[in-house]
Amino acid sequence: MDDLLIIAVRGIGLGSIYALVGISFNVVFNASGILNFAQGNMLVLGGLFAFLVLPLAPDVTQWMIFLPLAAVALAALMAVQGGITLLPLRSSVEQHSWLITTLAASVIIGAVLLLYQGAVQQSVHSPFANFSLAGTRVPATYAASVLLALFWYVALRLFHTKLLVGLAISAIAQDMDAARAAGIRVRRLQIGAFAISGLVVGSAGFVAAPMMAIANDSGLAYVMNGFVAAVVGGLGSNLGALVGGALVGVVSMYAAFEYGGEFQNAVSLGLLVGVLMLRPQGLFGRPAARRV
Amino acid sequence: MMRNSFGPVALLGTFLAIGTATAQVAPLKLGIFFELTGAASYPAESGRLGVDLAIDEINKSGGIAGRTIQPFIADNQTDPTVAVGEIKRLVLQEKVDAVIGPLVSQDALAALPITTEAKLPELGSTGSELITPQVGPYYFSVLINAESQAKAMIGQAVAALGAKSAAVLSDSGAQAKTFVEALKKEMAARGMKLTGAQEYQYRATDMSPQLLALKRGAPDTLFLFSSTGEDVGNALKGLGELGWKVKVTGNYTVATFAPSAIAIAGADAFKDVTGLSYTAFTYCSPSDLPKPFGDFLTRVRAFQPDRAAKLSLPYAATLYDNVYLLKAAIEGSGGKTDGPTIAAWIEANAKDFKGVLQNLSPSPATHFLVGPDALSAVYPDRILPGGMQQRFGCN
Amino acid sequence: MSDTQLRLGIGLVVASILLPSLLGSAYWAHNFLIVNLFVTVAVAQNMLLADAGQVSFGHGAVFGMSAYLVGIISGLWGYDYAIGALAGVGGALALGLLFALPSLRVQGYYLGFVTLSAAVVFPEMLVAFNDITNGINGINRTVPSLTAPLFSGLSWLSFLVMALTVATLAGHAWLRTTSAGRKMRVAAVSPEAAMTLGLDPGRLRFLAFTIAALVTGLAGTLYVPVLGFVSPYAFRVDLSIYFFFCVIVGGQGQLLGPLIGAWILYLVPNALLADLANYRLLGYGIIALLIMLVFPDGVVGSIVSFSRRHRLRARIAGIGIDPVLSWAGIRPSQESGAAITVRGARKQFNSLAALGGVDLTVMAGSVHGLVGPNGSGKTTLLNVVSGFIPLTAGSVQVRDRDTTRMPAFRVARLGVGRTFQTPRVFEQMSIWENLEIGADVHSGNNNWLMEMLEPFRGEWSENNPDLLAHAQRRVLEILRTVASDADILLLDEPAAGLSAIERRDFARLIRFLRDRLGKTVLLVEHDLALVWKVADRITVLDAGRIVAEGPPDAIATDPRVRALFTGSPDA
Repeated sequence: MDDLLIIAVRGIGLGSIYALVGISFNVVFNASGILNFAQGNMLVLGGLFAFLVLPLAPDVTQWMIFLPLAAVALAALMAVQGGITLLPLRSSVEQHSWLITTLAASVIIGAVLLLYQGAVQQSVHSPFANFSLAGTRVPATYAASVLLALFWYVALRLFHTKLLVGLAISAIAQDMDAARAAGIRVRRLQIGAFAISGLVVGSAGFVAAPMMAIANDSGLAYVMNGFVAAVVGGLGSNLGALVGGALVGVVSMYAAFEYGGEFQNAVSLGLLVGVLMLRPQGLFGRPAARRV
Repeated sequence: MMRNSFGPVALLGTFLAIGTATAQVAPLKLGIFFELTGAASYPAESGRLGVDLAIDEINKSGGIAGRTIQPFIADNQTDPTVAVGEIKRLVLQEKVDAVIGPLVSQDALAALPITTEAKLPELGSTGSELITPQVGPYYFSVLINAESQAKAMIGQAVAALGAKSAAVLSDSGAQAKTFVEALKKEMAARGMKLTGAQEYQYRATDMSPQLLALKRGAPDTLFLFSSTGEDVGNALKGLGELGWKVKVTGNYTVATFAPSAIAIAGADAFKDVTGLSYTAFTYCSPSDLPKPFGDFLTRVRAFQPDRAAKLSLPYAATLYDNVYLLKAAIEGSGGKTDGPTIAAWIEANAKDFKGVLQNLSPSPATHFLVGPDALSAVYPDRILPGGMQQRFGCN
Repeated sequence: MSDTQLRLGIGLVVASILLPSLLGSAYWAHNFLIVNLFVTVAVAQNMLLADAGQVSFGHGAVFGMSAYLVGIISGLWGYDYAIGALAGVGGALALGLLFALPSLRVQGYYLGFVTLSAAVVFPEMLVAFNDITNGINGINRTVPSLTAPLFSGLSWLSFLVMALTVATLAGHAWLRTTSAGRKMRVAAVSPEAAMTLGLDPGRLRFLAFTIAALVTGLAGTLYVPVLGFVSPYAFRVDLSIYFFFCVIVGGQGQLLGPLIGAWILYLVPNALLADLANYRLLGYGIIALLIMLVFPDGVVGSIVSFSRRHRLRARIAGIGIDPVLSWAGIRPSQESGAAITVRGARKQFNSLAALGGVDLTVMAGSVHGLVGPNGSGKTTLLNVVSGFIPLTAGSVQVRDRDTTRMPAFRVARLGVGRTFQTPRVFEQMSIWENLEIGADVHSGNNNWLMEMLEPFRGEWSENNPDLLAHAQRRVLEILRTVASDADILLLDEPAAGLSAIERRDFARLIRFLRDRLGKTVLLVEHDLALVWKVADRITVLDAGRIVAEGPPDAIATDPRVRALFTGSPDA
């Protein structure tokens, strides 16, 4: 029983990274219909930022100072990436060029990391103490990451409902052509969405750094699990991403515990396929309107 | 950003080699067939440092049998499809005389038919026993094979801990799978009980479900087979967090890449951990360090200090030895470079080879250069700069 | 354009296999054998994506399934290579059909995720089931009878790979000229339009997945002799993504696209950048990025659209209805009685009642107008009759067949054609092909309409409907429905956006449909003048209920109707 409790708590903690990646997907997806493949490596860059700026044993003040900087740094980087990704889309929208450009961005980040630090994995230490659970210790990062996911959920909800810019981005999500016709500067807002997504993923990488693999080739696992979280929850729904992330975290950990680590992927992807077959729009997604 | 320098350095080396070669006899074309990208890139980088040093030294002192070594780099990307293409490039396009590498058994298995057909000598560092002298008559491996590691680890667990039962935790990589198979066989033969087997994905950060599952079997020891130091660190960190105080008997990686594991889990986590290393890299008393490896460390640090500070130097040393063994074999065979001649020479004479590694034991029956006798259990955390570790039982 | 691409493609394939061997480069010969196998799979992927609209991120698994079965059966179990190859194609087909199943439920990137999952799990399962697959260590299997050189480095294998790749390219070009190929493309662009033509999109998806799996499976069987080795590492998810990207980088839908994409994406990192080692990935990423920035529609796609933009083209005269209206034959209505009968139709969308118990009878051979303000349920009713929307309660009959629970394509097969508010015109096809789609589903032998229009065939075959004005797109859509020989036509606001002259012509066309062709027409229209001019009977809907029903004269004087439209219907 204790074992299951530990797995549930740690699963939700680890899953909050996937939830954060999922939320950052949604921000870009809602504004542009683009699924940003580079999101996993962006998360890793957020972690790398923590590795570079934090001392071996950081204190809370340092941590609090650098957290917003990490978010802003990644926001700037993602705005640039967004600009590049949207550039070829000027001429036609139906092509899949963004698949290549976002993946190319991911490959470039991975390659630069490889050249910069080699094929090693960096580790970051947390300024917070472990908390105890059923006779074991759990790093505080697990809790911090869950809190961050909840923070972004609330913040984005307020942003999309209370602020004019947020409302405009929501309008793009509803109907891009109508938004354009209404004089909304779609392209500029889409780049803004990339930047917001960078805030989410940059802060996520920074906070979760102590429980992440910060390496040139670890981005793929985060992007995959973040995808699964977003799709299971329903693409576009941040509540869905929260629930989806927790589900993926807990289910894949439980699969490793009960059936062995080799079935971790198979089970979490089975979850994805199962949800899609039973509820194609995901748990919290809106069914696509049929236009006849 | 120091890594930016290797590409140009390697290219420059090539040009220099061509330049000097024109004045002398034809250069000896050496294929460097490594996993420079993909899952095995860290060991590959380390191994390449050793190879670069060996080539530098040999070329400065007159080459192999008077021929300058001209290296040709090929990255097989840890992908057998690419490996076949790359080995064909080396063999058929560049027409190399010999090959150093690869490091992953699956790449070797894919590429061996081509080097075998071309009768080229090849010295790699792979662990699978499937690569027999029948499969690769001219191929030798400097890596401790999985079976030897399994035997040595079980021997250590029984001798030091009196273990009667054990669980095994490994990554999902190729070498780990081969190892777990060998371990199961060996444990069965010795009547040891396997209480559980679990694996994690390469670069997993939270192994608590695996550890909790293994804990249920209450084993006497936990065999840990990992491919990277970071994974070792995360496994030990998980043990600490879960409060499971089990004696860990680790593999070669647990010892060799201990520094990166300590960076994650802290030195305390190694209290109940042993690893496995080539005896040539170990010491008993700090006042009596192994000289060949000590000399190698001095040379490699002088050669490229930046890379030497980051990479695994014991690993570099094994691949360094491969180049020197090839040199010894070619010069011992009167300058011949064909596979059959070189293989015969190594089978007969490698036992007298004095490199960083010594007591090599290949034979017509096994082309693994290093046997179980050349291995020792070590305290991974009692590590000197450069990677020398204290043998188990010493103080 | 496509002929040029096909000829160029075949030339490139043949040259890439012959030249390296003839020039004595075994390394390049090997590389191009691999690349051409990948080209083959990418062509199949192109067909699947561009022609059938199906996103698969998992065809590396289909490829690997085939290669692995060859390895297991002919390598581990010692059977003949041919038997292994047969089993390989069979296994690929089985997996391909398994991929097709979710396509009935999910589409687009969601389908991509499902197939991607299969591709991620596939190599892991190859390892997990090591009793059968030999696990992580893979299987060595050479096929000397195929790889033995015949002359100057060429072997039977070279010619097999060449034949397969050329046949696949040519096959793709040919498929596009067939009726099955056209149907597939229609179902891809608009499943609704396909269904109104009586096509079952699900079946067409299965067909596309089957063809793709067959081709991919054949390529997989040749992977084994080319490499001499199969291992789980070779069939990681990267391979599936690679196949998909070949299509995008080359230009989706372009015949030559996948070939160019496969060449660039394989040769650039593995051959041209091979010496760079650590810099290879960086170079690869930058090149991929630059290609998409310079060629947003893929290399071939962007070149084609560039050259099209810069080619002077006379705007075509357009589609006149006069030649059609001049048809002399008369086919009066062979039927009498009710063509469509709707009884007590109720449709709830959540709490909203779109239809609140509607009865409607459309007599065969008549024009029946359906009018009402926005949101009155006209289009919902049309969708109910077409079979797109299931009723909450009530029944629908087409002639004497109960169609209440029938899928749209089956309703269409009873001779119910329809048009849409936004005309479903397929810009990827020529104008003529747009008509041919209708003719493809025609049941009879001679299609008088296509014969009438034969003189325009040349001009219409060379031009795509993107040049057509709005009114002409409507005409094209109606002509397509007529070509399909549907005898009940459901027209959804056909006059919207037409000029006064175009409306007059349009009224003539509707009368012609009824009087000369004996069609039954159910017309949803905002232009009341037009409806009153052509309709035999009119039904007025408001808020999901029938307000009035009867001949135009009677309706026009109905005060409730007058109130509804604020003013007289002639206004």
